[in-house]
Amino acid sequence: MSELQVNKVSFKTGQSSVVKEVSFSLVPGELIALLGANGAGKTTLLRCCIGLQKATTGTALINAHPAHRLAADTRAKAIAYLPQVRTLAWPGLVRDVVALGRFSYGAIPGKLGDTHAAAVERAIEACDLNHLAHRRADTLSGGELARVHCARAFAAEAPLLIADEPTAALDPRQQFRVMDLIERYVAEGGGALVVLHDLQMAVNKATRLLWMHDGRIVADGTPIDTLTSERLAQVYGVNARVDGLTVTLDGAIDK
Amino acid sequence: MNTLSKLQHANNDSSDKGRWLNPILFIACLLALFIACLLGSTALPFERVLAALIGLGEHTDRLVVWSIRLPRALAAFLVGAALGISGAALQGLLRNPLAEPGVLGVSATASLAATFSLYYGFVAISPWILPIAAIAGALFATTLLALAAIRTHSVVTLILIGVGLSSLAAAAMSLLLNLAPNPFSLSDMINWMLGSVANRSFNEIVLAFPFLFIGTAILWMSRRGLTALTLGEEAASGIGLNLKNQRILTVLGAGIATGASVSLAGAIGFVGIVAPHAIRPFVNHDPARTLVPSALLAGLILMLADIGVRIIPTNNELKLGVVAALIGAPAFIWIAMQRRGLHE
Repeated sequence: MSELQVNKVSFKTGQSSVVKEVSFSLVPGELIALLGANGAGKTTLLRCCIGLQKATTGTALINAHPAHRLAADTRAKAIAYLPQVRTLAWPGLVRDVVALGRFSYGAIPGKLGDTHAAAVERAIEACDLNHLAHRRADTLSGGELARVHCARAFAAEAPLLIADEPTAALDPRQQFRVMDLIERYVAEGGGALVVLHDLQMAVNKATRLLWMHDGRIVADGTPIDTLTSERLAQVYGVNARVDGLTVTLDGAIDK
Repeated sequence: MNTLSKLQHANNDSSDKGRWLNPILFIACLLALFIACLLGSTALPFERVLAALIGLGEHTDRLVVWSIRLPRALAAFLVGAALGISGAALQGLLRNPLAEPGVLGVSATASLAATFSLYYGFVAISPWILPIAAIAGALFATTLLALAAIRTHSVVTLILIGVGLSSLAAAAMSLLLNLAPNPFSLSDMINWMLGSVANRSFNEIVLAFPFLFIGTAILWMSRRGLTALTLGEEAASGIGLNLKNQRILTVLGAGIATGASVSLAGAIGFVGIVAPHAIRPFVNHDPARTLVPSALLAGLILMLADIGVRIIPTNNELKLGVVAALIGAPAFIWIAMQRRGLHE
């Protein structure tokens, strides 16, 4: 079984520690929401997880292999990655962008073999992009583009997915559509680690919450076990009321 | 069956638009090459050029075609092709349609290095010194730019660094001109600065060709990664691109190809911008698919421009680089103004 195993990963730049002794694991069937304030170290942690950045100490293992030593294409076949910046440099066709998800298998957009074409077709279908497949990417709305990137990640058909704020800057409906796609990916046997800023969304969709504060994981567990107003105060610095799985945010705590 | 054929259709139609692009451009290049052999101070008729090309006909015709017109046109094509493919590849790597060896100061640095080797007579040691000096200059500039590109993600900064490199190289060139010992070396150096393929023989082409070939081949073989970079560097690494290797290969390929082209013709700017820009819509804006047609189109443009240089009646023959800049610089400004701030 595919697995991401993070053991006491720390990351330092200069004097400051960005990530401090983080340990957790991700397996298929899980949808983990990584929660934390801006600058808590979430993105750096994700980059360490997939070996784009070498951890200062500790190791991130992908299927028992150190992530930073894996060849880029081997790693890409194990974990699909949706980073934050999602502007496209060139306005290619939607279908060609989705086909880039097959890059690690040697696929060439515009000249896909049958296996790749089928995977791309499935991803396009799953993300409801059929009617857009032959549009140029620069003619899409933000929500459509977000789904294109999801489709690109799904086209890899990797067992694990890491997504950094996949719902950023989307309207509520589009946020739900993206999260529904990720939820279905997990239901069909994938495992996902997703950075979210919408707490209610995270609580409703995730099977597990990783609370990150100042580079550390301060809590790791199911929403019902870890969601408390104290934690929200600690992690986000907000006054919040928690009623079961319902979160109401009241405002920022003065410091 | 139905879904499969739909799939096949969906799979192929995105490349349909560009299917005839390369054959058409290739035939156009052959035509231009032939026309370049026809025209000149003494226009040769069609059948005499044809006879000379296949080794028949009068001795003087063969001389004119094989020693003067054909090598010159071929040099224009090779230089254009190298600059076109380098421009297309650099644009893919830096994700910016304004990147190009001329604009980024690569050509200027290469021609400075070449002039330097001429000025101090290193060329007397071996004829290979000239292309190697030009390539070293070009590699210096491309490496500097690639390092800057890692540090800054701002494309504007990168172009500014290129402008700085260009200015620095131009200043050093002016210094060499200033100190030129005699009018002869002065005019020689001006040739390098302005760019020209006049009086090129097969000897010079043979010296530059291996490097042109290697540079172009490196760019062609590493083209797939350029498509991945459409997503940005982070996502490109995410889908399995080895970013470091891609940077090295593109910088190396573009440096070698540009340096070799400069050793053949001096600094010729802007063809590397115009050609990929014209090609992109035909290949669905896929950077990998722009490389070959950009090379062919840029080669074609320079051949045509050189024919123009030869037949326009002027006191002194116009320099090819001057004509290329007169066409290319307005295109550069136009493309820059069209940009809608895709990157900051």
